[in-house]
Amino acid sequence: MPKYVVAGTSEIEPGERKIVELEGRKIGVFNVDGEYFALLDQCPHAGAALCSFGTVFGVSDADKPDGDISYERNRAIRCPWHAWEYDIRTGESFFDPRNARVRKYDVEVVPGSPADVVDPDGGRQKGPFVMEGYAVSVEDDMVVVDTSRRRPARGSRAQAQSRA
Amino acid sequence: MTAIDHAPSAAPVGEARLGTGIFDVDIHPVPREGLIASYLPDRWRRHIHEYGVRTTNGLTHVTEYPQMYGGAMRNDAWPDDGSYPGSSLELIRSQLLDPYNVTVGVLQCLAPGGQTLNPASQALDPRVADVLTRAINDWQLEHLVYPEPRLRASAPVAFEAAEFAVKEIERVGSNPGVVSILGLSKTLEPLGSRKYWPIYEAAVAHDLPIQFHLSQGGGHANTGTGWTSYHTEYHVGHTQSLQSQMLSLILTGTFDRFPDLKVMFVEGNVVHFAPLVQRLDYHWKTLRGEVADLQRKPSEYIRDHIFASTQPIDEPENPKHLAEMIEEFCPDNVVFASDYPHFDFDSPETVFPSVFPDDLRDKIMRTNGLRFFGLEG
Repeated sequence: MPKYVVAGTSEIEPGERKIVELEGRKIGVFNVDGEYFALLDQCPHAGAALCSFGTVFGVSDADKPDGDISYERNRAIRCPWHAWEYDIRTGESFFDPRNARVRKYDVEVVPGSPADVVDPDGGRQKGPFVMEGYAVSVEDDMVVVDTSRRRPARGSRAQAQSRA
Repeated sequence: MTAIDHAPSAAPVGEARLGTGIFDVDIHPVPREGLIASYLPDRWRRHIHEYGVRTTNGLTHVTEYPQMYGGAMRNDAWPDDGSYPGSSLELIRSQLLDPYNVTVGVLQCLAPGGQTLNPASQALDPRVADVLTRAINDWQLEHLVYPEPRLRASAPVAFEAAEFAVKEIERVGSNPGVVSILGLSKTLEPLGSRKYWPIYEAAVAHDLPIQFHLSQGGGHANTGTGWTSYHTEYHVGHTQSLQSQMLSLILTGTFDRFPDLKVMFVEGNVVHFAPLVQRLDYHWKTLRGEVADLQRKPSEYIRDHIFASTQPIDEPENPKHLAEMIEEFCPDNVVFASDYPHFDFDSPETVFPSVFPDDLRDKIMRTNGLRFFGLEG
């Protein structure tokens, strides 16, 4: 369980990020309103330097038209190339099945559990792509990144890569 | 006028050497602010400053929204000095040529200045189109091709005014830094029209192929059924203009008239051409009496005459299908394009799925480009 000290807490102010290199891979460490998150500096889609150049932005959400809108600032990051968006906390991509329902009768079994679904009634669902993320802790004013892999990559591209 | 430093206007251009590198047929340079004006005769500089450039979309300085939002540029391609993406040779080198070993990169300048997809060659006044395309050709040779031997120019010409276009091909067509003529997907008439034949004749006489890059404008609604309501509709539907252009070039006998003419459709995807060509063959069998002068079956014109660039790459759910569809079109006629610095950039490292056959990848990245441009390697 290798752990690396990457910065002092004063070095990455809220809203800032620092790109570090650990074990030969670039990793973006973000301070989001006082919480720290670390993601691999590589978009799962086409490999862009997502953490170096991505735009961090807020996400608004509502259960239904004219419903109350909730807004959470600095929730997601957008890729500098093709504008793919990921949850900065979990590295997961999202999509809305109501606007992406292309095959009505297909049923498939996927890894995971019903708890993974944010809204089982067809609202926002977890998407198939997951960025690699790292555990970050603060120890005595130092920001520490743990490079033990937390999540395997998923999705059709990841499966194709592992079959090859 | 403001004096602007000009690069030397003539310099030796060495042979393009692909070596062990890759071909990229679609790089978008943009002249630095004010630079193109410095290449214009006084009269036209004043005219453009006071009245703008009226183009075939009926407007000046306005492009269809929102496809050019943010210049349609990659977020990471904005130079630190506040200039425009594509205007820094250093960034073209450090973000594209060096990291991916692009040893031959072909410039598709769709400016003037930042107004990509609304290019000089679509100016309605042919004299304006002429001076602007001449300025762009001088600028891209002096500022990009002479200082960087890995870059080659595709020369925009006043495509709707053949007499001007032919003069420009005669002026720059023999420069070794120019490897193709740059046309657009949206034209006033279909590309097989005889009004364009003098351009094809001049291109062939100079051993130059023609690249037709995706564009807006052209003086027509952006689809065959009128204007689109949604950007998504536009973005997905623009391939139909390339399809119409391909049908026109084949059925008008343009390739019989110019047996050495080669064209490439740039930034119009690839795989949608495959079923189109098959359907064309199928109907031609019944209707060939209408086009009795055609010397070959329609699909037979593809290999010798019609190329397509990869970008934006199709990403089928089953990654094996991409290679199958390219094989259906013509595996020898597809060439890699990055579209740097636009947001829908394709990286040479991730453009193909891992199941993509190595030999086909090598053709697309290297040898097909040599064949299209008639280069040795």
